[in-house]
Amino acid sequence: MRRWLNVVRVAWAPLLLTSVAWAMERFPPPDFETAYRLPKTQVPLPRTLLQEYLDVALLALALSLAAYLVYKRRSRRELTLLSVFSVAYFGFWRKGCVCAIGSLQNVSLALADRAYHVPLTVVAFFALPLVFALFFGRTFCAAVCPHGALQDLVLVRPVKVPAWLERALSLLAHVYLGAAVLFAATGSAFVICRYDPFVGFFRLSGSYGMLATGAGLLLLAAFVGRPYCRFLCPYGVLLRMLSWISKWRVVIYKYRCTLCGICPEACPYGAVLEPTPPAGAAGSRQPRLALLGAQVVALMAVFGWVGSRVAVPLSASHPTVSLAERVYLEDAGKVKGTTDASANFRNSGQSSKELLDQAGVIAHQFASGGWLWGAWIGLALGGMLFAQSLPRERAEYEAERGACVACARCFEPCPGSRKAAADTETERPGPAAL
Amino acid sequence: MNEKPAQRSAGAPNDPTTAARLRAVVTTAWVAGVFSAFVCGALVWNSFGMLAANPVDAQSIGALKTHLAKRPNEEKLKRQIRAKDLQLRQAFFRRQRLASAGGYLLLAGIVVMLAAMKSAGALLKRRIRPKRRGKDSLRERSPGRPALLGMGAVLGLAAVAVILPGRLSFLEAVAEKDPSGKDSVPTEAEVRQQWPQFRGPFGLGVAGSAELPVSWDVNSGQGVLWKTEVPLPGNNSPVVWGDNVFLTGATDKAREVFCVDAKSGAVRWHTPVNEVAQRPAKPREVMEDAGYAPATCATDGRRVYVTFPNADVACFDLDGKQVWARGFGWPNNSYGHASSLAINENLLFVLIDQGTADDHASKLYALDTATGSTAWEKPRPVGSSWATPVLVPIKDKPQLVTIADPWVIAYDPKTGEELWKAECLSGDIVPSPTLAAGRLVATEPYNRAVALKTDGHGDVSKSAVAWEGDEGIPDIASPVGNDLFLFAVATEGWVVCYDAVQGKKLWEKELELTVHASPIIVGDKLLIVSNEGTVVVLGVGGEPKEIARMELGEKANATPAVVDGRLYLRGVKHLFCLGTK
Repeated sequence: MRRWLNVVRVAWAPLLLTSVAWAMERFPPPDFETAYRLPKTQVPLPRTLLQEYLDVALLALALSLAAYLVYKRRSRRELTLLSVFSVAYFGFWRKGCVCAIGSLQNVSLALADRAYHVPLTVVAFFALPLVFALFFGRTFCAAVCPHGALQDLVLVRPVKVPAWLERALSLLAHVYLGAAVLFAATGSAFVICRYDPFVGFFRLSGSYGMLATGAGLLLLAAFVGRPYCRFLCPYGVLLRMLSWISKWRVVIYKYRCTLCGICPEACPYGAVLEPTPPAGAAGSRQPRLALLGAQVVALMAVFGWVGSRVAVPLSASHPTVSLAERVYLEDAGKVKGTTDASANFRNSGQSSKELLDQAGVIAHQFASGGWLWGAWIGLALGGMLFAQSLPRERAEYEAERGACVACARCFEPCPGSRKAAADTETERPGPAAL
Repeated sequence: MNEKPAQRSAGAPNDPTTAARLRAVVTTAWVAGVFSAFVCGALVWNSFGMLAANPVDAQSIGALKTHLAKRPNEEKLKRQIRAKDLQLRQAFFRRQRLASAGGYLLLAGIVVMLAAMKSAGALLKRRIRPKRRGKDSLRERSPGRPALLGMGAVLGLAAVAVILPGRLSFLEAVAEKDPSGKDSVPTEAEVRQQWPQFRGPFGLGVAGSAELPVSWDVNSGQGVLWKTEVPLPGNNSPVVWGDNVFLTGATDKAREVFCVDAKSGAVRWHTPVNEVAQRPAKPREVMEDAGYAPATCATDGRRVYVTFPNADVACFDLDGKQVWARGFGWPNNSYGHASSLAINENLLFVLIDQGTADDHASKLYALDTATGSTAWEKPRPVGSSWATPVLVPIKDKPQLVTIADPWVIAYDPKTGEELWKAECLSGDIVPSPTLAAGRLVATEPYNRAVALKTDGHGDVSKSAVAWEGDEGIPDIASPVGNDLFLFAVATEGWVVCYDAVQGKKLWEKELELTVHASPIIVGDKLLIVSNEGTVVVLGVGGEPKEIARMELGEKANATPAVVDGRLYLRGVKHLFCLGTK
């Protein structure tokens, strides 16, 4: 294997050197009058395919290990060690790329644009955590995602976020998901990558704005558990939805629930649901499902229309639209001078009308995509309102399927996990496969 | 439900060993925290230093380079720049290495601090107390609904904040006016009924209507519908569409576009036209005879388009609001740029012939009338000219024809593709071409008129010439023709009539006037305006016949316009509307 790797490296080198030599020939250096010698151009070697496959294998291994640690070992300490590994490898070593969160943009673009080919390794990064979520819930968030793991590691003194605020802020993640898909599918920008608050730390460099934002989020994460995961992460929305229907779910106690009320306090993420009175108890009311359903549809329609109007100005993020706007303003005499982009365009010989036509097509795509984006937000909002109105019967404390990140903080304090607290010695059945 | 379950231990550790460990980790956390804060501060300070030491943008070196641009041969300055550049680069990369090392130190500090804090937290073993449950109803324990609705409202407000500035409204301006998504364009029939550009429909000098007033008296007012003073001078001709008459006026200090009500003569609006093109260091001279507003504007009934000797082109809507403006740079033109604008459907044609053919500086532009953006542009192998392009509707496929020294070139108006060209002219080409008996007639001042066939392809220099004439050839006024006759009026006042088919001179007549304005055909009448302000009406036929001769009461240089039986004449001071209705 090592020999094969070396062969690959050796095979790459002459190709790179040839390309560099060709570039130097195409742009020959000037004749320096002094004894100055032009330094040789250095090009970083690309990552080999084998290394990319290794990353995928490590991801699968980490996901499997996380599931094992959550469901079988139920060990917070071991999950913490896995988190440290994830931050070190997927974060600092791989510099946060490829990551599952950003990969959803690659997949979106590939679905929208047939000319774009997404590597299989990126598809794997996108799909593997989702597949695991279908079976084991958000084990990706538990200790594998470097963003979540980093926030989890800096959590020092958790402060409870009021439930109403938690609900309201969680809508932002849905907005972000829709925006990320819209911008990626139209070929405008990968906004998740551009505005990733933590990648600057993983790369130990970045713009001042993003470093400051990341530092602020980490400082917040020291007290408010995982703010990015809970309120912003677009990939988390997908994990949340799949976790609702996962085959297995995190169970707080090992033997039985003693209804002591400790687990909601132990959970720093507000992901523990309290027991509820039975249906028909005093103070409960049967929801009007038809009205709630109509509410969802109405919200989708309203937000869909708003989304279509908002999306057109946002299409200026697309380089073609931005260039067309600049050329238009120059032609109309509303701005003076040219930019590098507009000057290059005018030298290209392409007609302004063609450019404006292209910009119009892209703006139309944004308008159509904006309808979907807005309808998605309406659906999310309507769905949350719908869920708020539905009575749920719970006889014991439960980890909320979508919100629980399987961090295992609730396991140790739970008296129901200690054998002496159980009336019987019967363990609650876990994932049979493990 | 249990409220106070038993826990392993609570509060600060009682065990001295554990207490000592706790003190150690807390101290470690503090030291690491202070260290991290110090390193962070150093990195911030270092980053400011990197900004100042950036060899690309540093102001100090920028100022030196500006000096070098003015004194390119100063060796001492070059050495100074190189030394400064080397100094900046060394400082920059030194700081960059410092930033890299600092990043690792900061990471290490933060890791140690966090590990110590976690250890301290583990040692303290915070006691978790269950919260007393007091709320049993679903509504009380589901407080999120108002908050969700509030968040929805916040998102709505954010959306309004994005929509309101109207960013990208240019896409709407480009996109639609009718359901097909394209700006509506006038039909050929509409164009023929108006006077949309220099010399009327398609620039050919033939009016769409056959009515022409042939009698008026400016002193008594008989036959004068109105007379309006034009505040700024100009030799450009009025253009008319519906109830609007447009013209421009300019001095070296000011230039404006005017809209006059065609029925009452009242000035509806007049708007200054700001300069777009940057003035050259050495101002170009403008010929006194040409003036500062020699070129005639154009209109399609939706907007009016104007141009001036510096080749600025601007567009105004029917309310006088500027829609767009373009500058093409002051042309290098010995008599001053004076070609008028031509228009067809949604394209405005701007002819900028300048310098000599060897300069390769001449171009023909087609601009989108709605936005001013360039639909196409074609370089031209010609020198300066002062003629205006004409649109020749030949065989249902119009041709945009231009003439200059030495080429007559016909283009597809939609794409700019060259259809045919003939090398047959020389000298200062001022008169615009015309159409007579289906042939394109181009004049070489004082020398000859050439009638060219228009059905060729490519270079038809040797095959396209149908006939040539050399009598009464004008130097300024453009000829005009119909299916039978071609009329040319020389500056000295000689009118010559040719057989448009065979090119044979039929008659000539001396008017004893000086004529710069181009004659026009209205029905069976030929209208000529002299510089003295005398208007002569001749019959269009094989024999010379003077029908009428009237006085305008002031000098005139502009070509007249005729729409719906009304004659619009621009004198040096007034705009006249003559007719009976």
